[in-house]
Amino acid sequence: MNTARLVTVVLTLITVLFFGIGQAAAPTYPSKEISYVIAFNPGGESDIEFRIMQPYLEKALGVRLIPDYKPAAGGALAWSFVTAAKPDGYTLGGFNSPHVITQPLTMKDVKYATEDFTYLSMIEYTPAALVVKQGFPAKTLKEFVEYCKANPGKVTVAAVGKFSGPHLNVLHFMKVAGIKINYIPLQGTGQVKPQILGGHVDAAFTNSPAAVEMKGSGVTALAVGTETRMSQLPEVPTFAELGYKIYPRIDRGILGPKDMPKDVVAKLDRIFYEVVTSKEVQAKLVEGGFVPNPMNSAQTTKYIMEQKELVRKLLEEEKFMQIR
Amino acid sequence: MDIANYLIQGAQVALQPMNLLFCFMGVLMGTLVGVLPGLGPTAAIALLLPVSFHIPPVSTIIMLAGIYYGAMYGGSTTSILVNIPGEAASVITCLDGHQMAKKGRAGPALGIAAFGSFIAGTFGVIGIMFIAPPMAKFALAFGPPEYFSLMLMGIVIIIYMSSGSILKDLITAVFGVLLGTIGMDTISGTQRLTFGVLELADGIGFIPAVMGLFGISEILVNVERILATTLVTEKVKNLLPNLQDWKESFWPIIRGTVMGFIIGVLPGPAPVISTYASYATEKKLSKTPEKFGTGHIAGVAGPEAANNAASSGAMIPLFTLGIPANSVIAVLLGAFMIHGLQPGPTFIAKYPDVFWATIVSMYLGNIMLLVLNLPLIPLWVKVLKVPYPILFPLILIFCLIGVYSLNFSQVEIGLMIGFGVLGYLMRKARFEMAPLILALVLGPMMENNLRLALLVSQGDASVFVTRPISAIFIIVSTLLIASSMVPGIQKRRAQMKEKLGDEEV
Repeated sequence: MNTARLVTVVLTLITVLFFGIGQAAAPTYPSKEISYVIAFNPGGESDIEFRIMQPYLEKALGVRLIPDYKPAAGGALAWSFVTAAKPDGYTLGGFNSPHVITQPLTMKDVKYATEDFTYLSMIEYTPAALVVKQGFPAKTLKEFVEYCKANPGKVTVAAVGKFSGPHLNVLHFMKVAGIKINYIPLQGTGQVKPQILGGHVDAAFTNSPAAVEMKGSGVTALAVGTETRMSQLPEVPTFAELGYKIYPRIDRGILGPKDMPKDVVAKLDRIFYEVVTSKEVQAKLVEGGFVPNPMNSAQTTKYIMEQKELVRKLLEEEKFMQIR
Repeated sequence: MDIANYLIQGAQVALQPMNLLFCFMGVLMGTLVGVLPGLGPTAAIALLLPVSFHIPPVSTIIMLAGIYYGAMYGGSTTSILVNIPGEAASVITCLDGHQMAKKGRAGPALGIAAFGSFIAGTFGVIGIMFIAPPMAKFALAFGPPEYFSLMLMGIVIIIYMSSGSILKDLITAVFGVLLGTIGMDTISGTQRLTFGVLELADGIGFIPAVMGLFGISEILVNVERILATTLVTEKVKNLLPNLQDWKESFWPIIRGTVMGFIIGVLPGPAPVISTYASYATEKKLSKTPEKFGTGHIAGVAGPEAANNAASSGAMIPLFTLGIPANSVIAVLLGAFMIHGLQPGPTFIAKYPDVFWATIVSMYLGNIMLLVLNLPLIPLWVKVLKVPYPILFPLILIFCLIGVYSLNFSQVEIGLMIGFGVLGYLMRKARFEMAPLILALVLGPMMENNLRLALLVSQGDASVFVTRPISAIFIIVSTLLIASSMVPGIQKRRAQMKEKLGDEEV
């Protein structure tokens, strides 16, 4: 052969060898830091739950988890980002339900669909509570429903957002109780407390930590969305025990982009499940005001899809769906 | 009295070497963050959150609170020196502060800002100690109608801040309100003017807008000038405020403190609003209102006191009700919860040691800040001597890094540059920029609260005048508008009289 050919062959051989060696020596996952996208501001509930689990996860995975805050558009920005990231297991994120369900159905320009993720784990849920302002004529849920029936459309109930999780909770409750109320959408959880404490709205659907914090300030919690009564609010009945089979809440878990390698998913599934079911982590979550609700990857995916059907029905009935 | 005991208890904790160190670290970081354009206290607090896990809760609060009020001190430095606000609340300081710097009086400006901030901060802490619970109740009485009327008054204040054409300022303000409508509207759930860009769903970011409008445009404007090679052409003398300065600043500081504290208690972007309110008040009350905008020290002293008092006031809803007054305090709240401290109405009763230690440490922090900032004044003043060709690229880099560091968003960089060009054009056409910023902040809140108020009252607009607090603001706004028209009417009458007088003769 002439020189040119020889060089070509040798170079090709070398490339193939390197390639081959590279594949054979592929490091086990994870071999470098993992980026954990948080869809809300630091100090918020998603951040707090991440911080609780961070040391345990890092120990089990053997690498550091770097929080990447991408708050905007109620989380839509962060989840659009995760969906577009490389599905190699080095970009994960925390998710909120029903946010990841409602956003693609009700917001324009959202660059992801609920199915565009690998759901890895469910951590906890934060139940919602119905509280009424000081001096409101109803002191129990029964009285509240009766009052609303006697004054349709007059009672003001505030919650965060429009077509958001809390709004859906309100709608669901209205449907199940057969009442009409005047819904007041607020911009963030920080606005809910001043409005209800100041008596500017009659009632509010808040997250349970806020209900716990407002104990002793004159507002009354009528019901809470857990399966059994909360230890922090022992005198507050659940919606279920009062006959309304609803569990209004925000679920939180962990996800990654679609089409992650099967072995990576399996490993993460196992490790996350171990961490969220550990007694220590659960105790810390309870301290933070959350209700532990561990699920593995398969259970989480099933749950999300079931919730999606529920949400879709609710939205269709209220004619909210803007796209799809 | 109990308070004396509590203070002693708190001092015992706050004076521990560890906590003194954390306090110092906090205020130092806060000052740095306040000075650097773009970086805000939120970023610093977020960065330090992980560190806070390994230290006791009290130390965490001391450090994080230090960052918060430290940033208020630092923010005025760049405003005065290079006309770029270090952060939101320093926008007003640019107006007279930078003019003073140009006249060689940067030292007194920085000095009065530091002293005013110290006095206000100290009174603010005293305020928290004694009147926290009643103030908190007062803040709770503010519902959507009250907020709307307050914001309305804020917009009307723009007329008072105007040192030029009122018409131009109103045009700018309306434009600012329009810009404020960009984003997702919570009440209807629709996106407005976002053109498919998800980053705009939360509206135009305040920092990119301010950085562009003030920072980038400043550079663009100066690049045109081929005159002096440094910012300050006059000799820099007298690094501290003199007796005359103190005379002119005394009452503005007192008024600014009171105003700032009260406004600070209300949830919302209080420090910003308090500075505008203070500036407008001082201008109205001054015997020489025409000096405002040319480098009058009262225009620096009042607002600076106001924003520090406001940041103290903002702590009240946090400690008494567990309500964060703005996003920075929200991060503090998160820090409480991470450490298992339950915020809410019973916070002070449940954790008196934490509360009082924080109070004492806030006193100490204010002292530390004064001591930190004063000797640095000669150093800062030297910055003004750096030649343009070196200074301005540096400023540009800081602005770009600052904005990018917020959210790593190219959209925001684009926004900043866009605002920079806008600011440049506005300056050429002699439009003021401060009304735009105020309108950008107040506009969305005003609109949101107007609609919320009407939603709750089911369309009944009388709610704005039947509720006492709201009625007061509406009346004041009407009076302000009327009284500003009176000189115009009087002038017209005088002109008419002259004309008629001439004709008669």
